[in-house]
Amino acid sequence: MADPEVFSSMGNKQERYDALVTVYSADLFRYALWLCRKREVAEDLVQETFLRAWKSLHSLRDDKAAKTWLFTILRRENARMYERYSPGFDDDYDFDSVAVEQEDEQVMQLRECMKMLADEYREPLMLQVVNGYSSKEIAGILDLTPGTVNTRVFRARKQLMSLMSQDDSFGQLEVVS
Amino acid sequence: MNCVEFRRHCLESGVTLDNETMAHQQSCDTCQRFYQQQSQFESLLGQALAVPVPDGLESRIKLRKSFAPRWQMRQLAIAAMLLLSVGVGLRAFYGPAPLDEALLAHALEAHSYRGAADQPMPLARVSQITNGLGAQVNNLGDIRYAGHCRIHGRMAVHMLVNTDMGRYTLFLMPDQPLEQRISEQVDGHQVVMFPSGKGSIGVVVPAGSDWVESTEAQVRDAVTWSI
Ligand SMILES: [Zn+2]
Repeated sequence: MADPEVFSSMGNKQERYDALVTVYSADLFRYALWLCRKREVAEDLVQETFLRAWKSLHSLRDDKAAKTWLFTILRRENARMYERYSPGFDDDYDFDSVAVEQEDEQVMQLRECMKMLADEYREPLMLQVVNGYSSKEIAGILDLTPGTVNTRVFRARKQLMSLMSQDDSFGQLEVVS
Repeated sequence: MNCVEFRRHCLESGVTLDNETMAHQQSCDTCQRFYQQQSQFESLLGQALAVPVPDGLESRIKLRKSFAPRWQMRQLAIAAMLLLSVGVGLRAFYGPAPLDEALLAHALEAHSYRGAADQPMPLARVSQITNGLGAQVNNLGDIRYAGHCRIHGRMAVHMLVNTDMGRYTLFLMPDQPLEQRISEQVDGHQVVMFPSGKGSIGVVVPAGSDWVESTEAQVRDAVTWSI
């Protein structure tokens, strides 16, 4: 993750914007895919997020807040999309292009379990595992306290392990209460 | 630190150890085993959640943004006309519909955007985008951009196509039914819309172009619907 400081010196709107796209577009896409399940829709969502960001870039006073700001826009756009546009898509997650390498059976199984988690558990876990964000950063994005984030990722892991153990190899995994 | 605290830390942080937890892990066999299992789980979790980011995402975002600052009434006028023609009305356009307004205006600006794409978009990528909305496009020539947009909350494909005569913008709108063909000049642009499949298609060329009809004919031939 690039140091947020890199943005600070950039007074130029265009450069500032391009830097945001470079640093955060991939993170936002991964997050969006788990939110809306379809690659095309996820990309649309990220596009919308950045269009919004471009238009209101002036309101981002502190570039250190960029990450939280962008994720907040994305979450809002996602809600708006669902409200305004009832997707004709089925409910499946779109991981077609993920299954290119020889896909580990446990990985696929875990992915299935991941789909079963409540959004409130899946989202913070995703931000932590996929994007490598700290509890404090996740708290900023999801508008929670860091303590709540910790509790949720803790429960998310416990639920995942419990779901996995119903199948096989993680059966012996000790789960603390 | 005790064992319960250690395990809680692992499940909260994803086996990222600080000094204190490291010390406990090294001094406690049970927690060492727990830690190893947990590391294995984290590695699986990382693989399960990692999804590849589409090629060119970053540049497509930068491209779209390039339309934004050049918003003018010209685009808004065309957008309003398109919306009127699909039976939505100005109220929807100027009312609480900033998302549509943004998308449509940006999409409409696309055809005049010269820096858009230096190379034809790979046909596989184009198909991926059109197929998602049930459209197949054959022999349309040099497609420089294809992406999804929303027009009044319904997904549409917008495309930029280069021809010998110039560039035009094409909208495939599977969910915007239209009763009959419309051709209007709107502030510097010729907009042609006609029913197609269960929805409609829009073609936007610079006003005064004598190639709008041949383009329309080509588009009619090129687009088929599977829905
Ligand atoms: Zn211990």
